[in-house]
Amino acid sequence: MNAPMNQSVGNNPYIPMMAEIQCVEPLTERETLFRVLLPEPLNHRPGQFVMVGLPGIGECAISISSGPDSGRTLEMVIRKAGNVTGVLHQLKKRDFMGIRGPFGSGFDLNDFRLDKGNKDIVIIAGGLGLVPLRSLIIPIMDNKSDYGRVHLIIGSRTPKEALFRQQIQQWKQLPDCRITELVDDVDFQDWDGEVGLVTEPIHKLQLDEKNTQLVLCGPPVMYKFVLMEIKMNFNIPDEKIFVDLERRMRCGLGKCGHCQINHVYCCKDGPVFRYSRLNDLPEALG
Amino acid sequence: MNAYITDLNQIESWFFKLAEKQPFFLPIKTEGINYRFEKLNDVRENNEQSFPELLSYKPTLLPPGKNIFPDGEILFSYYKDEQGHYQFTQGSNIESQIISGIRACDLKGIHLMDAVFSDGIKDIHYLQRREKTHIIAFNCMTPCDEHCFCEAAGSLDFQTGADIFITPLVEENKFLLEAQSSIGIELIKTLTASECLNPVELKEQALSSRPAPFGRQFVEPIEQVSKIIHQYDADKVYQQYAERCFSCGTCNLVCPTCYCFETKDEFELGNDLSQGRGTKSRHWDACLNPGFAEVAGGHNFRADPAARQRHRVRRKFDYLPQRFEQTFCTGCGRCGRQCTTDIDIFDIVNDVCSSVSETVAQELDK
Repeated sequence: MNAPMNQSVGNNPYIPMMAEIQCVEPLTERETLFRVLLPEPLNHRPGQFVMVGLPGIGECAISISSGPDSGRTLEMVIRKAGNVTGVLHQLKKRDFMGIRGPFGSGFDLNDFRLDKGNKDIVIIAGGLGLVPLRSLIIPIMDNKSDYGRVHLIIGSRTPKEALFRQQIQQWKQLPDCRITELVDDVDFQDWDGEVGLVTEPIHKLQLDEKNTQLVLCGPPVMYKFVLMEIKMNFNIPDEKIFVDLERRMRCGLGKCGHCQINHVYCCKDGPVFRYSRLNDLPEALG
Repeated sequence: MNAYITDLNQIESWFFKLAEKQPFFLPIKTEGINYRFEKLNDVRENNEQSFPELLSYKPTLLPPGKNIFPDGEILFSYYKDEQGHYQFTQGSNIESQIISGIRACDLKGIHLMDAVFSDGIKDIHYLQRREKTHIIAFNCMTPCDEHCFCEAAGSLDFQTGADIFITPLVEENKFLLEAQSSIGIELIKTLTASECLNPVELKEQALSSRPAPFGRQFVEPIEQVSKIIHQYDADKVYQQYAERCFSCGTCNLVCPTCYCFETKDEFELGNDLSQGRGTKSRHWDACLNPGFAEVAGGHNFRADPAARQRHRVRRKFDYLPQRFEQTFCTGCGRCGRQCTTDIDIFDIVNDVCSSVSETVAQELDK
């Protein structure tokens, strides 16, 4: 452990790049937004993720929350859920954190464009599910004229756990953009959105069913019920429904085995899957 | 010609010669009953012994492939320089090693790990160590014990990837040694042996003298086994085995083709209690352990022990074979041999196959 061996270090996929923290913004009691400056751009796709951590402390899989054109800047929302995220929450502006990635397949924006015949885009996010989907929503909203009608259904447990409310207000101003914000429970707090589960507004959507792209991300329990509701009300082809899944991850390289869903690795083939692909993957929505 | 004939005495003294130059591992009986791959020099210092069971030993607790994928391998080290910047170094120094006395099933295990770690993003830690590992393997003439099912799993005659491959011949105490690589040719130079002019003939003779069938056999041929495991849920069979499974993960740890790992970050406290340097290492993990697929927040994607049993069986006979077109069970018998409650992947597979043929028969009756 003397001088760093720079040439050979380059091909060790476990060594992170160190990114400088530019901004730490607490969003809720448990979730904090970190904006970091990377030594080089990640060139990520929406829906991809990174391994975030500190050498000597540990690493965890964190969704990328900024849009694909963010250059060397990267935004992530990290929930304080364990030892590693606990230490990350102690970091301040100008501290460094380790980043590896981007990993996973992510979304292809071409699947959503109006000129590819996509009239409606439905995005359903439950809780922290909004965090990865934000990387897809941002490029759509930034170039809204390239995309059709956008329907967002965003659910949180309580008002104080609702994320990115200011930004959601800005999105509401854009043409052909219908946003429903819900909480399970108002919990004696101020709330100007609706109360209920994300499944409830689904039947009210007005969609060109054959030309709709639908995206879904949330806690594991959500998928089954939302998909049931969608199938009951609409005839959207399975290959136009996308689910963004969560798994335990350690390497990000398709080796360590923790994220395996039947015969695929979530970190390589996912975390975004077309619903049509899940016929072959019974463990996916487990 | 790279084929030679010699006897066990010559092989033994050749091993000692090779061991002088680099770490040399071979199966040695330890603690009275079990075998382990141990360094030859350590053995010699303790008691000058010969190796009468070198080519007939009961399979080791851990497969030799674990020497190339060691538990606790350092993935990188780091330190913080005077400006507080992190500096990284590659990992541990890797020295060359020879592993000898590898059975064909374990040779196949190493071959399968080579495929896994070269696939996609290359695993430089494994591949660097693999490149510096030289292998002397041999052909089994009798099943190692009642747990063996290597013929059924298709690994009985596997000899790819060995630098030198040994076949015990019909004539007593005569061995055919084939050098299969440039390193093998180099290594064999120090062996006292006579050149063999008819290796193909002698080998055929030896192989046909083996018992048939060789070890335990599945109720279906291996191609059919994979199809059945892939196609049928067989929940009841997995449930039945899961009921007596402790989820301890021993079957994973002793398996030549289990390679899942957990990573561990550690730092050393400096004199000023700063966390100035440390390492990231990887440690063998087991998909049978209850928390293997648990995520932050507590959701467990494979909480049911039966689901974990099925996952392991499917990895060997369905999932990995889909990617690499080879069965990932080598038939070495270790998981069954070591399991506290006698759960044997061989029995699970046979029960799944039989339960399916019963179901199919019942449907035909209707």
